[in-house]
Amino acid sequence: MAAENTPVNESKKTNPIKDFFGNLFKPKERVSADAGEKNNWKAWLYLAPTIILLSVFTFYPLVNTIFIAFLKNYDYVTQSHEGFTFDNFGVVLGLLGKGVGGAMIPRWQCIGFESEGALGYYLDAAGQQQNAYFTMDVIRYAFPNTLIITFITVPVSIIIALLISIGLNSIPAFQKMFQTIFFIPYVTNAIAVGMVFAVLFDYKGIINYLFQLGNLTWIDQGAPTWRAMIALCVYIVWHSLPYKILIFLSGLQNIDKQYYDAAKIDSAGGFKTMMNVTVPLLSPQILYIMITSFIGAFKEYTSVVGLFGKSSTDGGGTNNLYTVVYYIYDQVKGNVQYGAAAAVLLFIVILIFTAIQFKVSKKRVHY
Amino acid sequence: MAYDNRNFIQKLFKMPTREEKQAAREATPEYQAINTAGMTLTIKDRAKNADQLAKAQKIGRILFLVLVYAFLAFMAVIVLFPFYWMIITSLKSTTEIRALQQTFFPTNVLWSNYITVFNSFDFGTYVGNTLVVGIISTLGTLLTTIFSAFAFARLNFKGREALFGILLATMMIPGEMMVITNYITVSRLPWYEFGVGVVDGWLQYKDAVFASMIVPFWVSVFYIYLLRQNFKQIPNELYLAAKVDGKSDWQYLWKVMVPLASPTLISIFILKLMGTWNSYVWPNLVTTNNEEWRLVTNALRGSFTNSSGEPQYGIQMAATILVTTPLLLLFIFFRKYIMRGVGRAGIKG
Amino acid sequence: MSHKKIPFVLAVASMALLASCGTPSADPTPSNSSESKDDTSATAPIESNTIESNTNVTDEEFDPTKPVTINFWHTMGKTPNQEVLDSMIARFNEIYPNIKVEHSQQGGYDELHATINENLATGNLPTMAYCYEDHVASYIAHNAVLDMTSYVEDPVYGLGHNPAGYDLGDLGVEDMTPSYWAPGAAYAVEGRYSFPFSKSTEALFYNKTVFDANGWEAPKTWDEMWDICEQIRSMPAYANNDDFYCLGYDADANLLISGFEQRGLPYTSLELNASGSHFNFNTAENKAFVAELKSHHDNHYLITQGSSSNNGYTSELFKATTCLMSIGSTGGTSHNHTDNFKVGVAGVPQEDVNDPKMISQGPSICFFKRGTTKAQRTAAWLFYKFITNTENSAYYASRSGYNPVRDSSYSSKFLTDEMENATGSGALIRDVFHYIGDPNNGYLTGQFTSPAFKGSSVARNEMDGLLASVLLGSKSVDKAFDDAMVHCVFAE
Repeated sequence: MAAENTPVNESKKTNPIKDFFGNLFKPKERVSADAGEKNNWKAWLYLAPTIILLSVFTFYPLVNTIFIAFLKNYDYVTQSHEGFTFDNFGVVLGLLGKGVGGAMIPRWQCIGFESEGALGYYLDAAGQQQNAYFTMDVIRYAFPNTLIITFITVPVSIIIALLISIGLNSIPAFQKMFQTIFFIPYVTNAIAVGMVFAVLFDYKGIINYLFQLGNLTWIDQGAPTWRAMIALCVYIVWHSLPYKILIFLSGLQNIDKQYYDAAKIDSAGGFKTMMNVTVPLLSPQILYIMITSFIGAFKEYTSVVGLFGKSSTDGGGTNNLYTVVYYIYDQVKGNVQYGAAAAVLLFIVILIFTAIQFKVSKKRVHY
Repeated sequence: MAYDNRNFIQKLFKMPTREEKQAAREATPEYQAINTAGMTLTIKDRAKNADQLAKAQKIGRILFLVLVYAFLAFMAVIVLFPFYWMIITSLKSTTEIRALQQTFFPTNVLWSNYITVFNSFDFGTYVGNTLVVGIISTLGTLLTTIFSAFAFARLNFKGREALFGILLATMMIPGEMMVITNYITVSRLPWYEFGVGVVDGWLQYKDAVFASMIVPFWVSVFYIYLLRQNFKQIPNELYLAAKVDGKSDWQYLWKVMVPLASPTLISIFILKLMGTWNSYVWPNLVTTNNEEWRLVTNALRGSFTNSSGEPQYGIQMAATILVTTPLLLLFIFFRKYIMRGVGRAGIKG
Repeated sequence: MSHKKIPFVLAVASMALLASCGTPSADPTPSNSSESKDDTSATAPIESNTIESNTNVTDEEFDPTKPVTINFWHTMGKTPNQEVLDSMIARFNEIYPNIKVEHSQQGGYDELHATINENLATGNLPTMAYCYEDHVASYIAHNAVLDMTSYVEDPVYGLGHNPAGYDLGDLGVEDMTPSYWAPGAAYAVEGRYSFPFSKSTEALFYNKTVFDANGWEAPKTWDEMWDICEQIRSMPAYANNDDFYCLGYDADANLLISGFEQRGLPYTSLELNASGSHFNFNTAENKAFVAELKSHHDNHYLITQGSSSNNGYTSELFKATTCLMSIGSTGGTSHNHTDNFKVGVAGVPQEDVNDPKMISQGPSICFFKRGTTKAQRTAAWLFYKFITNTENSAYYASRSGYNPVRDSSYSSKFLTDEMENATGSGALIRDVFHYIGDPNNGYLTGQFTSPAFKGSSVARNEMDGLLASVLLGSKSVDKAFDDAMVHCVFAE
């Protein structure tokens, strides 16, 4: 591995991002041993605190959560359960409903539906029509909302961050000042700034006033979900810009000037240069940012709490800005096994998305 | 016969081809009157042309820069506006905040919102708690990070790359998968026994709660990764030289590597402290017994839930400012370390 | 600052009076607490009591001479409720100097409930805590909460009994207001698990200035209510204001739950229904009722907290005269006070004035057996007896706006004194007490609580969301009911 040869010039030759991916996905790559195997026990001694803490607070909970996801009627207070089952996943996905006496009724046994699938009719053993209730929180609200948040905020924030960092990289003066300004949102508290955005988007707030929108409701009770979603996305983009700008800018500053000189000789225009030179050369950073922000967007929670407080997303709430993680935390109160099942599903979705991004970008990322 | 390269419409209307047009043009007397033999090609005012080109480029560049600056300034305003609004809202009365005519500067500068916050919000206690939790968990993190980064960067052992790969993979796991179990875990760990009176020991109940906020956060894979990168950049020759000098790995780590990596360590220290300041979900779960044990962010969200009726935006914003300002100050003083730390590989949290 | 101390001084004075009446010779505050261990006169009766304990046998019984610390979790705001509590603790410590009372606010009721639920596994519980009946149902299910029957009936420390020198000023069980006392023993499991503390019901506050000017009277039935709303809304002053609603109802869930109760419609039941569920509200009649409310909302007759744009209390709308009437908790009476117009007090409108039904709300107190010692439990019980004695209950009620939990409190010297001199919001609280205390108004017999079982708090939350989403038009009535039902059955 290149890093083992310890180049003296740190900033140019080891790209931390490349190295990150290298380590993550090529763990089998062997390194020529320079000190032999004798360090074995000593190394494990150095690693002991980390490994112990990780085992207790990361690996065990991981296994335990997956375990809980397969438990029937788990009560975390008494730690009791009634055996193993796949039902929890079915319930979370709205495929299994509760019929008479708490019986689990599969969706496909229903002969009719109402309320967008929340209520299903099925025939019981005696041939009588009965009601079965299906939880649609994840399928109807949490998962679509999470997808919308992800597919709006990730591209929008990446594009804005790219433009800003390219702009920052091309100005001769005030670069430091602008860089500092753009970084400030990073050091602020998601909950605190969420409260500030709630003031901005109040129906008697400055956004409506500036854009002459009257008494349009954004985040208040009764605001349509799409408008609440816009407010949420604006806030998430605002809050996620600084980190992206920082990564892009440091990537840009490491691009060799000769590429631009070459582009100049070819008399390529600014936009052409950007698309043909800057973006490909920045592709490792873009991939890194894409993956981390996809994962981040899938886990959006504190921004919702910060902006809306707790009330407007609760239960039958009126904005329905539930996210998957929000659902998971809500289940901690009572239905731990559904929360665990949702967490496992979220993990799988994140894994799939990350894998797809790697596949798609494999040919396009230029290390 | 030459290939007829006219298109369908040209054929339809029997339009001439390009060659036919050229031939027709050459046949005209004006064309034939041009005496090409007497012509010389001169490039006049060559210098002037280059000047113009440079000038045009310069104007283009200035225009471009004006556009870039305008764009950056516009974005900067957007980025800073919430902060500005937070400050002026904290100085306004509720009536002015909800007024039809929004004001960009408070007509009456009210400090009473801050007084209200100070009276109902025990700022000193929460900051104290946050600092205690933040500093102890940061010091622990630094130790585990230094040890493991050293092992991964410098020592050779079986399964090193595999283990490092596993560690990096844990970063992709949503923390939500761990919260439920971890909460049960910290509540069952022996330290709670001290507090409930089963073991009448030196540990108070409060210490147990604080330990629950500290110990689980003594490991951060990201910082291990960050420091390992830094350690790896320290030339191998130094290590070999130290070996020749008879220095042990332990001495080498503390005498050579840690001092060389101190900028990164400072970055980690500050980022970790900021992480504690901003943490919300976990402290919310464990500081149940006493509101005086909460950290600032939880106190901020909790202290205005009971306010009656209309949102008390002015008071909320005053509290928000008090919680945000220390972070901004920290940022101003340690800008270099924070931005470098984050820029290297850091992820928030 | 000085005006805040007046009630405190009054309370101390009245306490001193009570204490001196009960035990003229004894000094209730032995200062040398740790040294007086061989004073067995007070510890002796403890042996005889019948307090059951299923935990540690090495637990020591309560001894007033030995220091013991109890924890009290509540949701009281700093002012005025916690100030009142602190002053009561100070006076309690004059009688029992060795009982240290630590208390902390755990956010709102839901947060407190969630916190205790999370800690049922760890045993990291307070000695006593605010609770709602449905919370207690889940604590009982986890065997964490204490059956207090033996404490109430204890010959030494029972309600109305105190050892010499330790008079807490409490009267017997018969003095507790029956409609508040009864639910504490109405659980699926036999026993007394919760005790009333800050209880409230709902009342109608109306803009008396406007009502008098137009010759209207406060509506007694819902039919009268909608008639008046129609009249109000037809007046030019109110017809063209899009922000104006005639009646504001603070709690969406209460409007539905008491509406169901008044109409005899099903809501929840302690016994399982034919479908094996506690939840019975998903019927066509219930939907029709909600649809009717929706039409009243569309006519600008009715707005609720959940359907107001910023989820704020409708008492704020009332004060801003964007409502002319407001139905809210008597615990929040002071929020309805304004100097801009006269505020009238009346009962919640009824379907049948001969059979009035109004919801009873407000936290009770329960005692935990998990994670506590015998001494702590007895100490907590003594503390409860003290804070709900005639004078303290009246004192707390007059400060907080909640109703006293004892009948004798209404005629307590402290409360009547306070009422005579009250001005501003205090006068409004007095009016509410007068109204509730008057047997003709039906409040003494008509208050109800909905059944408590595991999941009943979910039903209540769902009622909030259900009504709000229908009134705001974000869900159809059918869908809102079905969605609520889904969350309920999955909480069972």
